[in-house]
Amino acid sequence: MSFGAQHQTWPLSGTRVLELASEYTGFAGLLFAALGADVTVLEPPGGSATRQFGPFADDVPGPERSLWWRYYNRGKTGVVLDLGDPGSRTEFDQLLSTFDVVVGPGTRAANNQGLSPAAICEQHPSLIWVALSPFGSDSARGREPVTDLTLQAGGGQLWSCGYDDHRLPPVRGGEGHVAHIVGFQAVIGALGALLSAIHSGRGQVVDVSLHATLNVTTELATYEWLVRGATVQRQTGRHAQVEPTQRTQVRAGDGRYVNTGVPVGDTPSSNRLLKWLEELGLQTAFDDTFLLELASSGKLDLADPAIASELLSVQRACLGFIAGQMAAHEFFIEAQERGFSAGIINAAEDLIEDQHLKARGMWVNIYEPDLDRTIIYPASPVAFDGVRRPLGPAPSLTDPQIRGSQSH
Amino acid sequence: MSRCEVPRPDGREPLGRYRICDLSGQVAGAGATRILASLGAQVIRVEDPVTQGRWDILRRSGPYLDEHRGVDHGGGFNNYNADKLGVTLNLRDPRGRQLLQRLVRCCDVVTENFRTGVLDGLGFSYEELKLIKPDIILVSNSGFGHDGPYSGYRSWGPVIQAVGGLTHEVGLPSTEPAGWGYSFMDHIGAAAGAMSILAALVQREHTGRGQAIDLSAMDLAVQLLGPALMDVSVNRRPRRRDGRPDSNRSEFVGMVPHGVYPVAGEDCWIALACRDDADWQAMRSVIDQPWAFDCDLDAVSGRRAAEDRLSKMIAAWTATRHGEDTALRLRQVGVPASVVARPRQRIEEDPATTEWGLWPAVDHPNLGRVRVDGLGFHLSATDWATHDAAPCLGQHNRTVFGELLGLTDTEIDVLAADGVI
Repeated sequence: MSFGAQHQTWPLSGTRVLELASEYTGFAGLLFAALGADVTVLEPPGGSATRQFGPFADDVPGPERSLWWRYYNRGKTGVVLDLGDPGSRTEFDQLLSTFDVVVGPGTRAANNQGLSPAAICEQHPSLIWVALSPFGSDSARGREPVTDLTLQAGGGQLWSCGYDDHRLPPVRGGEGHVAHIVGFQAVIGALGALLSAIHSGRGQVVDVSLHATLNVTTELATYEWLVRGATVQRQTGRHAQVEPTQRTQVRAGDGRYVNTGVPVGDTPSSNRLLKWLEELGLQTAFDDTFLLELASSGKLDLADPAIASELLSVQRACLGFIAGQMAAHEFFIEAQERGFSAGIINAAEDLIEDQHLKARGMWVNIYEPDLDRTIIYPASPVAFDGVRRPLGPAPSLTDPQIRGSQSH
Repeated sequence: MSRCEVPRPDGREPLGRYRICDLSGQVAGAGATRILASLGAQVIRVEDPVTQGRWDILRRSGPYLDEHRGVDHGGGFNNYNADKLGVTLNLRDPRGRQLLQRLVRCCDVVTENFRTGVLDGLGFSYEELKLIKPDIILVSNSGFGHDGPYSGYRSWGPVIQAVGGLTHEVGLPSTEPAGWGYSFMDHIGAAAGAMSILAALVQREHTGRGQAIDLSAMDLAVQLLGPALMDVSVNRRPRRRDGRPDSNRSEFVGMVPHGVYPVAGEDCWIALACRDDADWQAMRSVIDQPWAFDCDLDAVSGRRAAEDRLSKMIAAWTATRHGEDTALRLRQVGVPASVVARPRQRIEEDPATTEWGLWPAVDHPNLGRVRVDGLGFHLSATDWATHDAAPCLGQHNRTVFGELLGLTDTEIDVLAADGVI
């Protein structure tokens, strides 16, 4: 095993990763590619089931038109092999000997394909097998069918997400995030194993549970229970809390929503809010200007928790009031320039035009030869030595080695 | 590679040979180093004695076990700082900065998540850190990154989720976005921070070189838009349109039915999904009502066309049923289903989290024996472990400044009396 070269460009230059394509491995493989690994994604003949996931280019379904596939498989090369065919098993074994890391299924699913991660690691002592499964390789719940939605329901995400009105159901935090959360955990586990292997030469199995990962990425909901047995309740656009809190999401003057963030609640921030109200000619229009004036002149005892809390509440109300007087983007920029951690609720289309992301080089154009067009993708998430690894287009079934060119 | 002569406390794998000077805080910063601490790295959390560490919101918030309050009482801080050492350093004082230089010389990694320019202003820019320790790795983990028009902006999880396009994706149609009900991006930021540190360590093992990494939560949020972003980019279909967001439905994978429905009891819900026609056939055998056998619903195209009506029928069917029993019955016939688990259900009553050892217990002087988050993976040969509670403010000053940096007890006493530590 090489574990990289002496003068490597990227952290994982020279590290070879084989990904057995699935809904939950795609993002992990993409992260490995962004870190500089040579990632090969293995599909069965006819293509991975994820090639049937939408959206599709021009809304025309087909394994070569899945934008899901194209998104999550950038920077990878492809190989097609039928692991269910005994004749292919020798080829697979030979393939394994050329890889440092496999990202594939956990024991139960692997066994169904006639594979055993532990036995394979015995056979290939330096190999790291990252085994992703819903509940862990040996779980009593291992046979349960799951989807992204049911995992987020069981893992704690849904309980915390939704609206103040509990007649409305809890909501999923967006489609496909199980693979995102788990992708990071899988890579972290693999890198830990890789650092061990650099010194010991020994690989190992990294058993990744989707369910466990979700359960420990729920912030307050978990540690409120662990510390004092309290249960958080979902709220619109803000943290689920044990006790209800003030709204933070308000509609701006142009109908779009903003988040008023976390006011500071001190004298200088009260000064800044007063100045903003004055500039807008709104001192008399806002109901609680007097409290800001008291805080601004140092006449409030902010050491008193009740008074400090009241000032925070008034500051938040003031930010919401100001937001209602202007366009959302103007509010976001103005609030931030004045030192308030407010945000605008952007949609994806807003981001492609966002000045900050453009300045950071977050968009790249990749020419996709088979579609004969250039597609805008996000650049790699992390810059190493100040440079993000360019990622070519996803492999096609007909020409799995295909790579395109990328430009900013 | 120069190292301090002080032996590591346990040297356990996989990260026992690495020491991290952790200037970071909150969930996104402290959460990253917490993962690495559980993997064996020696993480030394550096806090400000003047503010008593209150720069980190977790030092000034709960949850609290009882009526006692204070920087050493919060359960959130304990959760994200278990297994770390804690020291205090007043970096306004030249002696504090000098001690930090000595500490950095003994470390492999420095982490921080101050606002842009703060670390530079203290005299610890990456160039200056390199003069102290040529192969140092610096990972900065901020909301918007250290360059670009928003680089000076303030952030926390919900703000990044909003600006980064994620909040807009979460909710029900014909109402406002619901967004994430917690700092989802802080967890992602923490994971990306841990990943970046590990990747940089791998690279340094091969090249002997350190590097600076400027992580931006907004850059990360964009990555998570995935197929939605592609629909905009390729098909020119905006996300801000009628009927969206509708995040309980399966927009891209095409499952119908797919949703969250009421079950018996106050605020009790079940999530279920039919991945294909076979799942629907199995599900309707459980529903066992005439409407479910409408042949127009046999194929996913028919169910998609009737999705609103179908959802209402399913909701009416589930509303009087027991959630756990219904989920179990559906799973028994192969249909993915789960109740929307409350914390009690997933922490106390779920064999999958128990058998995983997901919440190890630590002994905290003010919180007593309390469980904290574990990790979502196990390593077969060099697994993680969590032993110690988060440090109280300055708890390890004597250990770190004395045993590691070689200060005498008298020197440490003077520094403490002068407010340097």
